[in-house]
Amino acid sequence: MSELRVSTEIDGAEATMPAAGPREEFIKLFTKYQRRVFLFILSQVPNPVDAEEIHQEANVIIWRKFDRFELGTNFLAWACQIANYEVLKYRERQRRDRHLFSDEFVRQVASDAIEQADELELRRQQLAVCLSKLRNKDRELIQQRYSVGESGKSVAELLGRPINSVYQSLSRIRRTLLECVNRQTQAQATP
Amino acid sequence: MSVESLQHEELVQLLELLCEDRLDRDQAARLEEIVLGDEHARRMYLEYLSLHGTLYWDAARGIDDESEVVEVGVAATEPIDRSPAAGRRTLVAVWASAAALLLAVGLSWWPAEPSAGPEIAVADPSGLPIIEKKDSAAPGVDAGLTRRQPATIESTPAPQMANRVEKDSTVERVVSPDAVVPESKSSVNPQPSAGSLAEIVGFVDSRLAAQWEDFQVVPSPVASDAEWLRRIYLDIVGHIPPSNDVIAFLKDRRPEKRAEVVDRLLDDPDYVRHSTTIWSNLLVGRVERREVNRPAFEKFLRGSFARNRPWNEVVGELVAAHGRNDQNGATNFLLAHLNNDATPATAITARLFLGTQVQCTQCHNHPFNSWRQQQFHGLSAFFKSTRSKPIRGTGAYALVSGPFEEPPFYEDRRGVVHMAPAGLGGQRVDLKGSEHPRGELARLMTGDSDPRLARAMVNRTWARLLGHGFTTPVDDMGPHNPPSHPDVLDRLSQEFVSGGFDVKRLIRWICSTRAYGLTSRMTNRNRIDHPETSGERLFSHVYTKPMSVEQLYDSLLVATQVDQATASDWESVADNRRRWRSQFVYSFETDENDEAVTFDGTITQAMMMMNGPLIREALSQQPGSVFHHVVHAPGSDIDRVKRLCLAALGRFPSSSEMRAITEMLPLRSSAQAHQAPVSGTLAEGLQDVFWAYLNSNEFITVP
Repeated sequence: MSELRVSTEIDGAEATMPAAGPREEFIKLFTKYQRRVFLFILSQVPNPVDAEEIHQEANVIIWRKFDRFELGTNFLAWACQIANYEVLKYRERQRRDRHLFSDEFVRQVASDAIEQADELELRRQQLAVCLSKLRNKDRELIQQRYSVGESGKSVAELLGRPINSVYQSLSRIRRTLLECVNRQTQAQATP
Repeated sequence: MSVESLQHEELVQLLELLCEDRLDRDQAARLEEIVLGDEHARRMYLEYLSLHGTLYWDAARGIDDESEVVEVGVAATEPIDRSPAAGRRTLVAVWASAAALLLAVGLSWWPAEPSAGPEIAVADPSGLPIIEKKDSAAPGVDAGLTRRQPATIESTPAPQMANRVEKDSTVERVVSPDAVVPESKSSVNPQPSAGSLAEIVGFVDSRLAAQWEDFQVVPSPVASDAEWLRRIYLDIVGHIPPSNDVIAFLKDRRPEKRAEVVDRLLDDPDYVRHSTTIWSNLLVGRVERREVNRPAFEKFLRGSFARNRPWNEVVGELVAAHGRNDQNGATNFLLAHLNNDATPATAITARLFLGTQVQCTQCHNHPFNSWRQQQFHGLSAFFKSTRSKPIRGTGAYALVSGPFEEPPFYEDRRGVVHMAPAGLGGQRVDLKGSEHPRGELARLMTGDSDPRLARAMVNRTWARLLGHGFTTPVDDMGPHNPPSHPDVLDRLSQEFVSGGFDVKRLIRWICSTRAYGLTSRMTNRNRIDHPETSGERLFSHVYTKPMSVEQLYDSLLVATQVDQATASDWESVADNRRRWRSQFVYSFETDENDEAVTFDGTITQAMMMMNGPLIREALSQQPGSVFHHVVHAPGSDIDRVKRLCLAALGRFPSSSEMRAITEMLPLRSSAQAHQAPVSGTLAEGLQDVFWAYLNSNEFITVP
């Protein structure tokens, strides 16, 4: 699913396609770090739909500025810089009174996120293991919740379950996953 | 819960709101405040958002396209096969006929399966009279059987706790704080500030009901009197109710009868015995250890439960104990756990009394638990100077503790050496020059500043009675393992503290809740309330528990009265019980003094054990035993079957059981039975019936 989104994005971008060799390398990096750039944005703009919008704008810029990126340097840091700038632009566009979080908070979180990027990536890899450990019923519920366009509320309506019970179940599953990821990463770190 | 972990819980709740786009402005501000104020909270924020975002991004496909999935689906623990067939495949030939009967009777009673098994009907639907002859004046069982059991008992309105609640709150209102309570059965004076029983139970009931509504769950019906009575006996006095008590209870039509039974059982000497068994198993284990003087330890516990000493006082004494293990029984708790640098003593103290697992923080920081490495060592600092010392020529040991030397040092994983000042939770203590460091610890643990002692006890007691605690495992509480009903846990803990750590009162509260009075059978409308499969625990029905080894043994004695036949004193009864129990207990010599009871869950093995001497005696016709009495008492053969069922299962046979039994046994009417004693063939048939009931799943389950 993610790859699909990425490729349309590339096609839609009004960018001059870079030349063959470095271009392929760039595409590889670009594709590889899509998710991590998205997560970086999400940490500052916690609504995934908004974060996705910002991400797409950042992608356009990243693609446009391809020739300024030096292969061999840290792509993620470079891309996050651009993404960060897009977050700020988004916040400026938004009326100040609609900001959920303060500037100070966003700044702090952004710098933490870059600092912990590798650690978070290791955790993310363990999540797949943890998802496979969930009970089927729980996994189904979390899959439903995170399907495109769904929310806890819409899933509750779909299942005909009271909304609070769905929120509670989702909360329990997310906590379980987080705890499992903790254990997994701990186990990986301790030989 | 420490301030730290309360804040942690708040943070998780705010993050959950954030994930579901439900965070309002004030909550966002609070979230900012927590996150900006604490490094761990910042990390937590990122981890949570990263989880949320990844799920969104990958739409929870569970397949990671960039990294290999290392492990797939750890096999879920399969529920033990409790189908009647599983326990019976290994039967010895002698019992073949009985086994056939058992299958025919269809005792596939397993409460988790609402569709299976006979209903636990109080009165037999066929309305068979218990005994038709008024002249059967035999003592015991017959006393209650002499009158016709009306078939209408089943429709008796469910007794509520209402009357009792009134009574209780009145009592509590008239007790003034300075009134001296003469000869009080409870050494804990009721504090007027504490909520009344009605208030507390009302609160718990309303919180549970609100959740049932949220989950669109309809609670199971109220348990039948027979089911409820069996449960309360096993929970409070540790054995099944004797037949006479069952009959008296079924006949009693007053609504307050359940509340009265709770009070009566809490004052029964067997409450003391059962509580002593539970806690001596938890505190020193079932395995015999050289350093442990079990009789002295059990005497200490018996004294504590008999006088209903406040729980914080008991724990304080266990933690601070010193002296000879034969003179001061309390010392045996720590003596059982001192074999390796005080580490096991630290771990078990934290786990049992504070509901906190610290074992895994010893060598590295537990990733999520706010118990950092330092805290583990801070706690163990109190135990550092504690030693066990054999006393020459006596076989006794002494628990001695020297003055505090210096705080321990420990190396973290990077090899950096830290000093661990003694402390508990957020509190630090300077132990320099302290003559008795554990006394300091006891003071910290049992004081007002740390709510964990009360919370751990409430959670454990709730779990023991309802079949599941607010957390699983029951002794691993903390931010990483949030309770299912935080408000109920909070309230009960507060009341437990303000009521002076009164254990009996805590039990009375929980046993008076609506939830405790429900049947353990699920219905189609609360199917999701099944912690093992759905992860939800809503307490909309009682969760069944397997009997412990001791409960089973003591229940077999009640059901069969074989110990009456071999009339023995209390000490030798206890000895027999201990010997019997030792068959099931194996010890793994580990740091934490783990032991495994092969009994829990391995029904097959239990069945084999039960075919041993105890059951043989139970079925032999020794005078004084229930079986002997049933065979020789006057009455019809159908009455004999009913009395056997009553003795074993505390209920009358269901109509399907009765049908199967009448097909297999040459049962006679009472007029015929009056003319001739029970024949050898019939006696064997009755043996089979009794054996089948004693070996049923229903027998070994706390309903």
